[in-house]
Amino acid sequence: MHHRLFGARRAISSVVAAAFLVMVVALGFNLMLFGANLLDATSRQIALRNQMATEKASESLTILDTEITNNKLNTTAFNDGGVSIHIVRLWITNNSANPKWHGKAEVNYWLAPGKTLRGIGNITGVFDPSRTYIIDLVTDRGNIFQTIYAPSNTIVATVQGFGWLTIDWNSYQYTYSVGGGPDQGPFNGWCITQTSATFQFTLKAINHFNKPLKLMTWTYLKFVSNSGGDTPFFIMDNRSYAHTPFAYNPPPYIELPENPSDPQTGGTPTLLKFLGKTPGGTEKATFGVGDFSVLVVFFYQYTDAQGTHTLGQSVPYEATEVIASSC
Amino acid sequence: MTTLTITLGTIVVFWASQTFGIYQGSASVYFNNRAAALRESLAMEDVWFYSAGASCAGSGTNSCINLTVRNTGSIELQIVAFYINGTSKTPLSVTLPYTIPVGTSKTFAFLYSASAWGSAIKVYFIQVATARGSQINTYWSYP
Repeated sequence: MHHRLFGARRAISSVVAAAFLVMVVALGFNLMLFGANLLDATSRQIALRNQMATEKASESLTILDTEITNNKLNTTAFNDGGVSIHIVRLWITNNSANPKWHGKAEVNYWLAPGKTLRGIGNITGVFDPSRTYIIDLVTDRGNIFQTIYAPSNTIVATVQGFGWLTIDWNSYQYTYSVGGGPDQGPFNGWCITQTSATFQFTLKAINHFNKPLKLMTWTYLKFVSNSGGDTPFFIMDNRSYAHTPFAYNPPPYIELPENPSDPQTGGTPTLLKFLGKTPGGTEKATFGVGDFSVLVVFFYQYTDAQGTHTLGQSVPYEATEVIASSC
Repeated sequence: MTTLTITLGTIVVFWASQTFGIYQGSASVYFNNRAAALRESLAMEDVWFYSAGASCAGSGTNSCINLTVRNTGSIELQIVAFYINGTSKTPLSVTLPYTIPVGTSKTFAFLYSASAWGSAIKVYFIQVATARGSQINTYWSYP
């Protein structure tokens, strides 16, 4: 009898220990499920984040034209991206007023992919066709598309084909030569304190096409004066210096390498030099003291199975070049 | 023996539930914060340098810089700090942290002194930070 009772108690303690063990294992399993659930929720947020980033990067708006009609801006834009674009605000800068005028307008324009919309910026305001305006179109995804209205209408409209070019503006620099002496610099391109020198401007361009691009001789960096008029600095050979220019008269072409595996990142940035007065010539461009808006106009050849396409693209930038004795 | 087993088992289960609970709580807070941060997205929509004080949030005749920040994410933003050329700046007429609802923007004005900020530089490195750690880092040039 004593033996049976003793044996039964030992069996009960084993069962109790096993029950506690099951409880601990259940707690651990619950923790594992909780961790998996957290990871799943975080993965979904990362996927949403990536989707937002992809959609933002997929926004592409080509501004075909800007004109002033009846004191109203009239911009025409083409959505050549893969997602619908919602333009929510316009920033307008009268770049030739003194002081410059800068204002905004709340708008609500939708552009489906592949569609062209006219009349953007058809808002109340007094716009003078003889003035220069910078127009920023802000989308709800935070992208900004910019165009410049210039009185002479000399700004080349953007014509994109199968990709686009961007500029690494952090690489924007200049060197200068006084009286044919050796080049001084490079210096940051946004502050020029030399008023009697010849300049060579350099910047890096990035190819976001899926094939290499051959740059044409008409490619130039343009300085649009706030007081009227503009000065192009045409591309020159990469051997050039401010004191000794070399004409860019291809072939051989300056080629911008592609990055077919990642067009968003683009190919290796390529250094370009601008100092020519005329396309393909050796004469150096010059300009004087003043305030300027800067833009770059590219002309390039893109070759695919259908043949060689000559394309153009302007890259405006809202920044002002000041050339004075001090900045 | 049974009493000892129950006592030890209770202690082990209590310890396990406490430890796992603490871990669950801290992990939940961490991942929820990270998930909220992932929903944040902001963009510097506009920067403008005013030489007169008319648009400087009632600051009189001082020059100022206006920064317009847009919330392009799916969660409200809490702006906690601005840095211009690495120096913390406090906006005029706005108390930080400032909340920007989804899909809207806010213009912040800062007093500007060309002499104090280095007029020769002309290019300004502007940073905006949110409470969840998102940032905008942009360069803008002085017109």
